[in-house]
Amino acid sequence: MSNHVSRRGFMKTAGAAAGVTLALGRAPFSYAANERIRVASIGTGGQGSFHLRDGLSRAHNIDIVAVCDVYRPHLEGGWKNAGGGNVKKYMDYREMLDKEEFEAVCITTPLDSHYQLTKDCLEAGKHCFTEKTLCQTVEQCREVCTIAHDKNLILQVGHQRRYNPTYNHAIKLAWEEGVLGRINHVDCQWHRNNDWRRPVSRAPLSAEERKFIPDLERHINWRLYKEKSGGLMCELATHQLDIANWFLDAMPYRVFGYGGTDYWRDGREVRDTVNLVYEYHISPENRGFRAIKPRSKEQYLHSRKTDALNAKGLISEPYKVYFVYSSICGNAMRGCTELIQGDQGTFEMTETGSLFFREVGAKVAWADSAQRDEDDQNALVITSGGTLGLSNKKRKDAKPFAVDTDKSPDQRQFEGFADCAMHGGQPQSNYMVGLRSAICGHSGLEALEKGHEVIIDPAWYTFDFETPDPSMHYEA
Amino acid sequence: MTAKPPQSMSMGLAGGVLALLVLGTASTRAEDSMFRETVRREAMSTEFVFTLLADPEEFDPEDVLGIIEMAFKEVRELEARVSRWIPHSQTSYINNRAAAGPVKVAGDIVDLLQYAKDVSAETGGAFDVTVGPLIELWGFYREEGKIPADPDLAGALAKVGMDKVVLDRPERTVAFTDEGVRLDFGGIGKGLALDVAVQVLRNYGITAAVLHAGTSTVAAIGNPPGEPGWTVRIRNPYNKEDRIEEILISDEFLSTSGSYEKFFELQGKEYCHIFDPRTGRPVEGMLSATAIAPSGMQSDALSTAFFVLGPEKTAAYCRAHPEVRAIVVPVADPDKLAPKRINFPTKKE
Repeated sequence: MSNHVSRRGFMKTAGAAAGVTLALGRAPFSYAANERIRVASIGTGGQGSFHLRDGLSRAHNIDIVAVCDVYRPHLEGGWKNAGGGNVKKYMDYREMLDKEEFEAVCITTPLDSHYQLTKDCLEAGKHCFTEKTLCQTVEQCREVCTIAHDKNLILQVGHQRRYNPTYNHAIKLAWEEGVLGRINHVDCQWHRNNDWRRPVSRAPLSAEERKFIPDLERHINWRLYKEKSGGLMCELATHQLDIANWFLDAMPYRVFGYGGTDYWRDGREVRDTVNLVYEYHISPENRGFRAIKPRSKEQYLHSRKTDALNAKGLISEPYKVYFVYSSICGNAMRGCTELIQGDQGTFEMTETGSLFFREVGAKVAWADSAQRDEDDQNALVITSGGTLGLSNKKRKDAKPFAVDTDKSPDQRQFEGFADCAMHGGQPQSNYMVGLRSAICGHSGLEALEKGHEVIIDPAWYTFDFETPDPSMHYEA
Repeated sequence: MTAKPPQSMSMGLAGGVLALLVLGTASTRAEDSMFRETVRREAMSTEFVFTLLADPEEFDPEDVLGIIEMAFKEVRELEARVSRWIPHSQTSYINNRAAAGPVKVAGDIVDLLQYAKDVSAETGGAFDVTVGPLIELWGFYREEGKIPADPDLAGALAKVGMDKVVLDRPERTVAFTDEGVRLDFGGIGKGLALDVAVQVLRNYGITAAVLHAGTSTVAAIGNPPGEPGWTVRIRNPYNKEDRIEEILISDEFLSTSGSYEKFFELQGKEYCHIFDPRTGRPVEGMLSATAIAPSGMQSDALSTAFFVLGPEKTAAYCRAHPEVRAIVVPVADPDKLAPKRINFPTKKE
């Protein structure tokens, strides 16, 4: 079979999303197929400008009507990136909400402002795209999720990997074709070798800017200050915590970790090093669950004795999976990857391309056919070898398994956002996805702060109303 | 007669120097009070080198390195948007879809296409970002040079021309009039990259820097302290150790196009990698063309256009555009090289 996802496959997902709409009893809005939704962008610094250029501008179903930022250079840059012209500029988002007509907002501001902005925009009747991490506390996250539900508005969270076709294809291969076998370990890291600071302009602030910005250093380098950010856990880790949640279709039971400010002692208040272990309990109701055949006589006998075998002779009792996470700022060799490790193979996922490594002796139909199929020249099948490390040559020779697309994940996530806002349905990165990754991030942070394990209470991600599926994916 | 460049006849970049930088002649007293940071990074299949001079009273070295990284970040993001080789770039998206109808793109891409249309019109079609089908036909993308048959050439030419690119600026859309039209911003990519990098550096208050991309496109911010400008030397096409011109640039961009770095030989004849979009054939009769202009996008586009236009039409263009300078070097024997300076306020003009 092919390992390529077609555009048609993506469209089928839109159909699946429409199905969710009906299940939730929500009425689609009355937009014509060729209509566009009007979007305002709040926060047009680095990430906001990236979305304006790569996502919002390219989305066929979005018109950018206004941009808002409290820092004039970012506002002017955002306006230009939005296409300039008739796009309106604001420094105060409340004034923009009062004066402009639009249906949705893109909120890409420092974390400490997410809650108020998202709440105010939802209460003003706007669909919200809010960058991860959703809010600064679990309580705040739950409150905005509840408002979105009550007001029947879309609240999408910026986990762009959810819109990356390669990740979606990997989910399908893992869940439906079992190419990884049983996922029994997840290992992710985001390693960089710099101070994670942004340069701060020497130009004095205007009187208008000073109304919003008491300290420009803290405003620009907000990721380094506790009152504004959770540091590595909230600005980087939540992306990858979400990947573990997605592949396992589960939330962790508990987390523990160590970390500190050990290299960049430069006045920052957040850690430059974090190391954590999340423990997941996986059972048959999780789509990431996989029963296994006994692989040894002893394993078979023990499973029979403990009544762990199902009717097909497979070991089908619940099990635990450990997710090991690290983020550091003094070495970039390993970069940013997510290893999803199963007893049949491993996905090494990155946003620009991914690899599949087959375990020795694994029977993986997808991998076998990928080797033979001329259409699958990009399919990678290499054998990692029992305990052998991969040589550099093998890695160099390796080709990524990737999904052909001329739409960037950012364009996809905003087209998906607009589509759901106009026609109903829930986005792939819906508020439950954002809530769950935020809970993992904040729980990890608490474990680091307090020096003890944190049990993740299912009540934190349970509501007394029907919530969207946090593990949607689209199929080839 | 056609002079023979001395390098290997193999295709591809020979790794030589088109425009060579010299950062001032000697450290001046004024520069002694500054500190210098130089950072090299790979992007757009070439090496970018940024050198900044900064006053320690205003900046510390970590600040300057941070500013340089911000500039490189913009360069990488630009590459991700405009490269035709990146599957989900805006260029790939347009190339795949614009023949079927208008495609929505970012404002900077619309601006870029408008400029490409303008410069194509101003140069009589000598610079054209739709030249890709010709490059493909002649085998340059695959580095397998071949002389195309006339019908094939006519077929490729039918897909070339900015009149086949329809822009709707208010709607921010682009459409192609024909199947097979392809955008390729390779001819101005480095200039664009230096434009965005210079903008970042200026925004952070940098007043003295020189940046180059693969040594063929150079950007100068201000001057080295106590100097009238940044010195750029242009190499001799026949001898990379020798320089044929030395000029000063300040708050300007300089680009050089040459026939001596990328070319192939077929049936005893050399063909350079720069195409005349009007004839569909590689340009003949030129060794190099250098353009100095207020932006990198301009200098890149114009160095290519001047190479195609030759000395007389380049001079005519520059008469109408006093903000642009040029140095063109027609084909000549090594001992008879005659670089022509245009719009330089010296007796050499």
